[in-house]
Amino acid sequence: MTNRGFTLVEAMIGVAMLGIACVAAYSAFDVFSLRAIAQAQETQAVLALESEVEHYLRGEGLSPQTRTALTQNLPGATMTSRTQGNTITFTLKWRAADGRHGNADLTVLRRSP
Amino acid sequence: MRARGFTLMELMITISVASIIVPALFILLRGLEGQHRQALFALNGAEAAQVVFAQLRSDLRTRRLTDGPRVELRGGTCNVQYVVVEGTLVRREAGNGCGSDAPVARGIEAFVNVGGGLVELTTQPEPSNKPRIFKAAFPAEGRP
Repeated sequence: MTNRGFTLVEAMIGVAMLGIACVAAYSAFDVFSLRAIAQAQETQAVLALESEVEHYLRGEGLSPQTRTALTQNLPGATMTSRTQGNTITFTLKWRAADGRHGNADLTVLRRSP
Repeated sequence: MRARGFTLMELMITISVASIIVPALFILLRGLEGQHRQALFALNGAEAAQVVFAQLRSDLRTRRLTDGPRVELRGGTCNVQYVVVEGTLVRREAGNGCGSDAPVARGIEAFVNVGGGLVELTTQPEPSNKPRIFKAAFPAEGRP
């Protein structure tokens, strides 16, 4: 049996593999963390949509200040509504923390005039 | 079998490499721990916001928000007040035959009626996190 230590190349390969594993773990965790923040943004988006719809159903519009306050933590937030037959769909889009496009919508029956 | 110890050069190289890797790993682990806390904080806050606003919306079916910064609702059988007690949001009923205090969510710093139907929930900040604020607006029927 030969009893010798690692060569420099073997040691470097070991260190490099350890480094790659650490970077992979870190970036995976980074994604997890950003998704959690994106989840919090989505909760706020749903609250904003529900507020919009509740006001619509009672024949009141949300004031621009209130709408701005509701979407303050949603970068690039845009609220749109689309009427189709007897339904109306409110859509809120924003730039999510994890880099994806956040999108939430809520469809309700149109308010009778 | 020939057995020999490490040479000075081998030891120096090993110590140099270790002195780079160990602090790097330490920093990496601390970063991971911070991210983990931040992620949990965001998720807990989101969960609390869903529960709190669902409860408030349910209360507003039969009651109206009062004026002022406190989240108080009048009407129905019992008036309702939301108060934060040691980081826990408590729903308090007032009136004859009404229920007692009921905890709604933990990790809450403030629950405020901003005015104009806008209600703000602030989750308790942690050392490495800013407080997270959730907001919802309620129509005039549910406010004074």
